Amino acid sequence: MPRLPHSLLLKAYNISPLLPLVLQGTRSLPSAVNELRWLREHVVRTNKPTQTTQKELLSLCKRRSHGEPLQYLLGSQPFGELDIKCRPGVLIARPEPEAYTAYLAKLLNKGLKGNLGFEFNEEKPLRILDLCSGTGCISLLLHSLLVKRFPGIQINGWDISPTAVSLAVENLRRNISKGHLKIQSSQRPAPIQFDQVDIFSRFNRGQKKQLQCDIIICNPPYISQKGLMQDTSRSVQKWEPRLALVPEVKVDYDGVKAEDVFYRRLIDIHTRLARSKVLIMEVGGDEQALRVARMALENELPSRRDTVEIWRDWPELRNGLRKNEKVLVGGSAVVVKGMGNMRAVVVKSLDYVWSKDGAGPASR
Amino acid sequence: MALEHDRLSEETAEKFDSKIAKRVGELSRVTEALKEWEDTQNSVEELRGLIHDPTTDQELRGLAEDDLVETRTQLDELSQKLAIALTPKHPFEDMPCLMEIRPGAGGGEAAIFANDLLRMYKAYCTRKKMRVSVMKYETADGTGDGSGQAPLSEAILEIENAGAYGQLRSEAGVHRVQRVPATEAKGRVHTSAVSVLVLPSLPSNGNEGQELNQADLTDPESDYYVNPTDVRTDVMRARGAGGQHVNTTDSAVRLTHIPTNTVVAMQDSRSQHQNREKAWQLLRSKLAQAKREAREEEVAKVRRSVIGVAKMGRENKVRTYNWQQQRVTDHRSGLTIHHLDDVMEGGDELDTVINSVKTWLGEQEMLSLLAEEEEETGKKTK
Repeated sequence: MPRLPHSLLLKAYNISPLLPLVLQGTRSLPSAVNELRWLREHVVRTNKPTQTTQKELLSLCKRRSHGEPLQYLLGSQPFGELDIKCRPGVLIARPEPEAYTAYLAKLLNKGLKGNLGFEFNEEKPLRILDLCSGTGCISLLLHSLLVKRFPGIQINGWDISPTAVSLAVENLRRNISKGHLKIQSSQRPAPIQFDQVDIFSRFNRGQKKQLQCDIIICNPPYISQKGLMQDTSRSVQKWEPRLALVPEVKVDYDGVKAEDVFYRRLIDIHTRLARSKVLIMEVGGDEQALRVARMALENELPSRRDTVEIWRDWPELRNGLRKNEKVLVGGSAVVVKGMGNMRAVVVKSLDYVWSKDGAGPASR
Repeated sequence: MALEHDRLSEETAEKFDSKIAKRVGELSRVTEALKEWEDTQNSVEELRGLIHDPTTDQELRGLAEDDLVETRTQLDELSQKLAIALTPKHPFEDMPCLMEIRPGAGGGEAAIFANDLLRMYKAYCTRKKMRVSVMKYETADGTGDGSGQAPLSEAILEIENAGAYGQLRSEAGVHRVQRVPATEAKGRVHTSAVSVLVLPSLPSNGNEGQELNQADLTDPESDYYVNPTDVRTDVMRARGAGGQHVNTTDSAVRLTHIPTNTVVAMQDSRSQHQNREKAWQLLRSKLAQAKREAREEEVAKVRRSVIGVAKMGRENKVRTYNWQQQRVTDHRSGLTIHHLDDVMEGGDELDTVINSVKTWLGEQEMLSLLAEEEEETGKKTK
């Protein structure tokens, strides 16, 4: 990591003596200025105005200078309209999942006019499965955005880490009490539920029932061993849980890279076990997106017709240069939406459209 | 008009309808003034009759004459009041507002004074029981004022009460300060300037609670309509891989309205979602203001011939705060008061100043209205 130039540190010091500390953590002056302000607001908000606020602020700035994420220092991160608790041991909620989750909700709310390509039967409750749910941010945001149009919505969040599951439950309660989520505690079955599940294990009967859903959404670990050292920031390496970043599963799929094993399992769950209609997987970048898209197309069942789409970081923003962008994956054209890096691979399985007469899968 | 008011009042008594109630509110200002004026007019007539009546005795006539003079002056005042009430209401009068404060010429001192003004308006609004919050507080590079804060480069106050725009719109303009700044070592007096911009604030989408039916955001005819395809959104993102690879807190959002090249940026909140909403709110306000200003530009030509260079805007200095003489002078109403401290604390004296400007504004609007009318009748006779 390059050393920060002295001129920059001096400039920061001239604004505030605390700023160089924060700057060590953020590596850029504008965000350091913002973070110092948020830290100061946090200290003022949580403490009584006494002599100790300055000391408290100094100690927070010192911790920040060692790379400790601001989200852990403040204990929270806004996610859409929600307020998500963050704690060491669980991956911090990031803006990219916020963007694709909001986009997914927008498409679902639009119905047929949106381009998910089908409409859900509104008489049956919409069921969503959020795998590797972490803080629970995706589940909670989906509920808050969709409950108006899908009043019976059911969301299950699964994570292998008990720390994550308990934090997700805390987040559920916190956002209900803050009024961000419209859920009565007496509601049965509970509209949002978090459980500890290892998605590589054999599923028990209850889990199999939860698998019968319409949409699977997942932000799995996807960084390679090498990538963790090379591409991630120091703060991520040092402070965030490796479990949520690097897949370390003792499963061997033929010809599948170590960082891609979760996708192989997810596609299996989607096509063979859950028979869900939409699968949305976050990916680490363009190369991985193309590998996963190819994997999805290759593993499609003969009776199904899957469409694969790739969403970039900000799927709603227009890409100035490339309109109606498409890439060729294994002979089929895949639509790419939005701006930024390739961030999510979306698989839509068309033969599970609800047909009006209930005669089963629609024909081609 | 008085008849319409009476009819509508009756109707509202029977069934409450927000639209009618609103119209009643608009009319009541005029009818009240009109009633007072009519009453006074009547008493003038009566007094006159009394004086000219040969049967009235001498003593009574003397009293009546005194009364007549007094009533006449009252009548003059009331006609002025009526005239102001008759001037069409500013279309944004009932809206909440945004107040943008930016330091102008004068470097660090201007930034400090901008901060003083920010504090003044915050105190004023709190005292007036208006809900006020700092929507944006942006600092510039440079040496701070010792409290560890960088100098202010732009601040936006959001005042959420309906009618705040009407209350504060006269504050827009350049505010000049004359004092020995804290940053001055040799004790010289500096003159610096801070510009204040007051924008009508628009409700965000789906905010049905607010009673602002004219603010239709989806109607392309409305001032507040912004075509989303005309707006480019930029979000700050981490360089490199993004996603799980980084955990930066950049949440800044920048919107560019391409046709007018209006740019707003918002980075105050940790939530990108919230920054985006605030940025949209600000962009809508700016564009609505610009649209209205463009429309007024034509009218202003007529106006200038009457009033001279009184067009209010950011280009003219409107008020001077002089520390040496402890005085505040408003250059539009011509009012000077010597309670500088009270003004800077947003106290009653600031009220006096603001009200004097509002009266002045009303008169100016009346004058320009007359000028327009004359112009039109002039055209007709030609």
